[in-house]
Amino acid sequence: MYRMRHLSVTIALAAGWLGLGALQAHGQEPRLVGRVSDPVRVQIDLLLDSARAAGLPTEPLVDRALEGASKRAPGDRILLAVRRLVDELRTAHDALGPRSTGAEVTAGASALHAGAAPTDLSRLRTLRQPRSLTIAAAVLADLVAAGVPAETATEAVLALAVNAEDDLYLAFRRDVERDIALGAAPEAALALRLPGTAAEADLSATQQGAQRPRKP
Amino acid sequence: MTRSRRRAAKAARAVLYLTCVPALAAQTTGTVDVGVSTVSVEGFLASGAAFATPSLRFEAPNAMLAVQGTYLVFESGNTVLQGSVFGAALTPRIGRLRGEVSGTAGIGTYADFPRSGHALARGRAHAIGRGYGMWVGGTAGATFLGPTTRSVSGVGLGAWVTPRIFTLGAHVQRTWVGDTAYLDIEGRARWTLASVEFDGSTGVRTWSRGGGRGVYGEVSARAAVGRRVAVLVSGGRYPSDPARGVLAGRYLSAGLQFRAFTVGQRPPPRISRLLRQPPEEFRLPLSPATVRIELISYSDSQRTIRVHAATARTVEIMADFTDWHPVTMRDLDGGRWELQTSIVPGVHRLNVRVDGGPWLVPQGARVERDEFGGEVGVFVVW
Repeated sequence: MYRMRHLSVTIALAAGWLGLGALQAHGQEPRLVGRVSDPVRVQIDLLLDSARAAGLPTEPLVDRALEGASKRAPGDRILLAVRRLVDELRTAHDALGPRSTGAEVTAGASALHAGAAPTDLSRLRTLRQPRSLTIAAAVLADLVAAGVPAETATEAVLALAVNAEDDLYLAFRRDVERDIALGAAPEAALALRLPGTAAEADLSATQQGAQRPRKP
Repeated sequence: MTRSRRRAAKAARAVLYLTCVPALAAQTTGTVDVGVSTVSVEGFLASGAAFATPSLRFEAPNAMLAVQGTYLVFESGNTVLQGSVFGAALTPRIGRLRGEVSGTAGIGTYADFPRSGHALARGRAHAIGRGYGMWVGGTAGATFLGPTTRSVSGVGLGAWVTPRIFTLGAHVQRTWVGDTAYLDIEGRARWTLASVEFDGSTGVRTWSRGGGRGVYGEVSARAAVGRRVAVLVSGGRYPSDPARGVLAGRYLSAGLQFRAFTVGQRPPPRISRLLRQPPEEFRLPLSPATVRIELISYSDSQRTIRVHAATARTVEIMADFTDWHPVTMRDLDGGRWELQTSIVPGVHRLNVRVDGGPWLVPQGARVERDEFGGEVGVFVVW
């Protein structure tokens, strides 16, 4: 009896292993199993394959599908959202170049979604090298979302691109958002904060950034 | 006497009542408060501070005027300079009813922030009995920060009683400041034991859109140690005040109050109680708080995400780093909720749910349409 059970478990494990191998060979994403319907999952797997072949990060695509599933969105809406994200990632990837990381491409896509232009991302890439532009692109998107016109926000982020460390970008964003929350016009808040941040970036170009948050 | 003459005579009597009668029992007091505080304002680390607050107060049976300034310096060297004026007058009594009109205006600067200020007018109708009273009223005005001005309006009702040495009061106030709206339900107690005056208040902010939610409370004591000197101790947690452009915070203060001069007689306390307004203590001008998220620590593999939700019983987070499965956050003290997990640096999307309510975007995350008919928070992890 014991041997029979042992044998059946071994066979089941082997079948599972073979099955998993088959799934991977077809590029199927296991996290989507049971979260979205099979027809939708097949479509998403195809999109993942094409994204992978184009050198795009696939993690955000899976995440977008899971987000839609958790929010009980219909399958066609999930597919539409994933397709749109593929387009944004592709545009960001083209603007940032083939050596950009997945995090950079994702942040770049977020900035494009917020209203930045692909040429802005290319300029940011050039100015920011060799540092990562993930935070800079994310801050750009945040500023636009906070109400700063895309062109103005882009100019500000580019003005800091050469010398500002990531934590200075984050502090800059926080200060601008706080001023806006207090009632300042977004452009006025940006204009108020930019000179001080730029001066601090220049000053600390060779130093480590200040700790955030800070004392009042 | 014609009708217009009778109206003119009535108006003249009212003016006389408000101007001449106060002179019979009025008092003018000049004081200077100096002390030290430890202040923890949302978005900043806790900091020590030293302050000086000169004030001038004129009190009469039917009117009062108070002028106050604040100079405060933080550990960082940043300074706050504020000035405010508050004035109020009571109409003649009609049966048990009295009207009150009052106004307050203030202006302040902090570090290199844009200058902020407010101008508010208030009207109240009081029904006064023996040892108790009720009021209903409204507020209107404007608040500004730099070049931007927002309108302020509010309605409220309250009641108070004076059993023995206590004064107990409670009020409900709904306030609108631009797009922000909130409801405060507050209780206040004031009592005197020998030469020590205590003041305590507690409240809850709810039904809020952009004004924050939560419980708050403050206590203060003033002990006279001579004719001209008193010891002041106060502390607590105060809510954001969008009408005056301030952020929620906690503080503990100790100081001395020096009475520079007193001229005249103190008016009857029961009347002045109606007009008495708590002094506008220093508040750092910042934005209001609601449910707020922050990244508080990180190592190579682990990140700690913290959510501040003052009155929450449960807080759940659903994000790309949880594969969009709801995860219950760990309850810390004081309305803080934490999740420690592995999150790669970059741009992440999340939603937070409080007490099983709708999934929302906490402050600290960028609000974006999520393509599924709702909103999602975009959050940068570094």
